[in-house]
Amino acid sequence: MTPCPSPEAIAEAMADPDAASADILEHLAGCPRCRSLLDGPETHLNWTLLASPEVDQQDQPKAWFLNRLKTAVRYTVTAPPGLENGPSVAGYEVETEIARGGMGVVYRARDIALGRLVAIKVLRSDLLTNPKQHTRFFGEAKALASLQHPNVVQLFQAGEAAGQPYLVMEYVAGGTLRHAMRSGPWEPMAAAQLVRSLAEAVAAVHQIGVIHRDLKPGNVLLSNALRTPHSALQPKVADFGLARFLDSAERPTQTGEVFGTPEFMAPEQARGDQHAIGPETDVWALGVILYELLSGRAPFSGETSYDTLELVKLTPALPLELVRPGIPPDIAAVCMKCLQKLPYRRYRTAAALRDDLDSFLAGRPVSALPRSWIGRLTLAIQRHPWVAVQWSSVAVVLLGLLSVIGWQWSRAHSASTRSTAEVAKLREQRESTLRELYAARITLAARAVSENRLADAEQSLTACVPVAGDPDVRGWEWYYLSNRLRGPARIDLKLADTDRHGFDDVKLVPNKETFTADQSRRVVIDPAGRLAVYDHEGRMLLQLPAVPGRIIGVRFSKDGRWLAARTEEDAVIVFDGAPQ
Amino acid sequence: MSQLDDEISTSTTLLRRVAADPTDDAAWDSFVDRYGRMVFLWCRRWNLQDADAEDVTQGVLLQLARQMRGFRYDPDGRFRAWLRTIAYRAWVRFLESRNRPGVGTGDTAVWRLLESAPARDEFVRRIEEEADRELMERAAVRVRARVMPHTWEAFRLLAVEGLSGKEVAEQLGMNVGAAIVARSKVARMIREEIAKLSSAGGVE
Repeated sequence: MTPCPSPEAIAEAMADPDAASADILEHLAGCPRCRSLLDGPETHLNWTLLASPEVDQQDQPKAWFLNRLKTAVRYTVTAPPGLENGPSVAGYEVETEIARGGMGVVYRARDIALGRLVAIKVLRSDLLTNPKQHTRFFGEAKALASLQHPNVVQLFQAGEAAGQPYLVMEYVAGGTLRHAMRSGPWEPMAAAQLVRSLAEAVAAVHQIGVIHRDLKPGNVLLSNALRTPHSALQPKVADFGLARFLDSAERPTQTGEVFGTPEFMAPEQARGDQHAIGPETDVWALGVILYELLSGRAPFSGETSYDTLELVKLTPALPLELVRPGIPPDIAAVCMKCLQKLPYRRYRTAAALRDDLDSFLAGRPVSALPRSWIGRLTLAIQRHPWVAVQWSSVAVVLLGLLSVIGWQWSRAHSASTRSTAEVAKLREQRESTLRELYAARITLAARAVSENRLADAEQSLTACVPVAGDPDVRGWEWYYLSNRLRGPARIDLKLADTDRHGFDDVKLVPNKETFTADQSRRVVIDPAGRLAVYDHEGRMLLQLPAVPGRIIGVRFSKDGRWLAARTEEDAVIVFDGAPQ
Repeated sequence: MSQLDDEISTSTTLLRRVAADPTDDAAWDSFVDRYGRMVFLWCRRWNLQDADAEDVTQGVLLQLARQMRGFRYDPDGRFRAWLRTIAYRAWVRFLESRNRPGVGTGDTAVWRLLESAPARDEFVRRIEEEADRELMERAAVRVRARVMPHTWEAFRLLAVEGLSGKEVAEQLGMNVGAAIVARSKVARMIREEIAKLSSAGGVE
C-alpha cells in the first residue's frame, strides 16, 4: 500500500472527489486510519433515518382522517385560551375536558359544596353566535329537566356564565357503549338485557313527550366500569341535543333538514320527513344498536354518509341469522321488527319493544315471531272473508268466474244425471281459474310490496291460502313475497362466500334458467336482465327486483327454498322463498 | 426521502415553526401529515384496529398540540429537552383523558400494554426519532441539490442502504476510494446543514 497522504491532500480529495488522484483514492479505500480522518469527529447520526420505510398501504391512515385531524388540531390551537381550562361556573371546580362533540364540549368538574363529580357541558364557542344552536342547546335542558330515570343521565342545573351557556349533569364514569362494543358481538342475552334497559329509559322519555332522535352507542354512557361482564353494565341515555317535544309546534325552518348520525337514522329521518318522526324513530335506533350488539356489524353502513342514507332508505338489513349463524330466532325477529322501513310495522312504542325483550329474556314467545304464521293467516281469513275483498277488476272478474264454476260444480255433484267426465272437466276448469286468480293476486301483491303498501300485499297473499277442498297452487314466489313482508328476503353475497351458505353450485357453468325440484316453477333471465318466475303452464307470476350488475346465471337451491343469481361481477344475490 | 413537505425552503423544522408561531396553519397541517402518520403507523404495529388507531392518533396529536401551546419552547433552552417534555406530557394526558365518559378506557390486552411505562417511553423515543428524521431529511434535500448525482448515490448506497464499498463501486462504476470519499463529503455537508437548521446547535 502507498504511504498515507497528508491531511491536506485528503481534504483536497474530499472537496472534489472527481478530481482526486487514483493513488489517493486507492489508498483511502484500504486505509482505515485515513478514512477516520476523512469522516472527521465521530458522530452518532443514524443515516438509516433517510431510508424510505416500506409501509403496507393498509397501514396508512386514511386521507379523510388526516384532514379531519388537521381541522381538529387547528381548532385546538386557535381556541381561546380561556376555554382550555373550561368554563367558570360558580360552585364548581373544572378538572379536565372529557369529550368534544358536534355541539359542545364536556368537562369533568367537582361540585365544591357536595364534593361529588359532575359533567359540565358548554356550547362550542364557535356556535355561540348562532341563535338556532343556542335554542337547541337549551332544548336539551328542557328535555332532561322533567325526567328522573336510572337509565337517563340526570340534569342538575342549566344556565349561562359570562355569556357561555352550560348544563351541569350527572357524571358517568364508565365510558360509552361504543367502546364496550369494540371487542366484538355480545352474547344475545347480554345484548337483550342492555337494549331492554335502554328501551325502558326511552319509554320514560317518550312518556314525557320527548323523542330523542339521536340514539347511538356514542350517546349511551355506562355507569359500571368496563372489564365487568356485559350483563352487569347499566346504560344511561345521554345527549338530548337533538331531542324534540312531540307536541311542539316548532318545525325546522328548512324542510328536508337532516340531523343525527346516518348509521342510526331511521328511514323517515334519512328522507328528512320531519312529520313522520315519532316514537318509532327511536325504536329503529334501538334496533340498530341491538343489531350491532348481536352481530358486531352495523346493519347499514356505506362508504360515505350519502351511501349510508341510501341504504337506510331502501335496502333491507342482512338477516341476522346469516351475519351470525346460530343466533336465537326470537331475538333476531325482535331486532328485524325494529328495522322495518315503515314506522307502523315496527314496535309502535319503546315499551312494546321492552315487553318483547322481557319475553325473550324470560324464554317466552315474542310477538315479533308468532309460533305459526300460517295459523295466523288462517285466523286473518276467518276475520276477513276473502270474497268480500276487492283489489282490482282482474281479481273481481276471476272471482266471479270462480263462483260460477263453483255453482255449476255443486249442481253437477247433486244431479246424478251429469257424467263423471263433466265433473272432472269442471274441476279442471276451476283449478285453472284458481291459478289465473293466483297469478293476478301475486302480481297485485308484488306491486303492493314494491310500492310499500305492505298491508295490501299481505291481504293479496292471504287470499291465496287455499280454502277447504281447493288445491294449494302456491309456489316459491308466494313464500318469497311473504318473506318480503317480514323483512328483506334477500342476501347479497360474494361468489367466494357461497360455499359457506350452501350455494356452491352457483359457481358451476352459469344457468340461463332454473327449475324447482318439483318442476312447478321456472325462473329465467329476461331480455331486460331481470329474473322472471313462471309456473308450469307458462304464466309469468313474478318479476324479481333488479339487482346491481348483469345477471349471468341463476339457480334454485336443492330444497327449492332459495333462488341464487350470479352477476357478472361475481356477486351472488340470494332470494329467500323459504316457508316460515 | 418520504413525505418531505413542500416548504423545503423554510429554514427550520415543523416543530420549531409551530413552537415559535402557533398560528402557522400550514405548519400545523404538515405537522399532522408527518407526526399523525407516524403515530398511526406505530399504532398499527401494536395491532390496533383502524378505529382504535385513529382514536389514539387523534388523542395524542391534539394533546401534543395543546402541550406545545401551553409549554412554549425557549430558543435558548435545549430543544431536545423541550421535545421530550411535551411528548411525555402529551402521552400522560392522553391516557388520563381516556378515563372519562365519552371516551371510555378500552378493554383489550393491547390497551393495557399501551398504558405501560415501556409504551410511553417508546412513544417519546418515536417522537424524537421522527424529529431527527425530519431534520435530517430537510438537510439532505439541501445537500443533494448541491452535489453531483453519483456523489449523492455513493453516499446513499453506503450510508443509508448499508452496501459495501465494493458493491457500491461496482454498481456505480466508480473507484472504491472515490465512493468512500463521496460518502464522507456528503455526510459532512449534511452535518453542517443540520447544525444550521437547528438553532439550538445540532440534534443534541
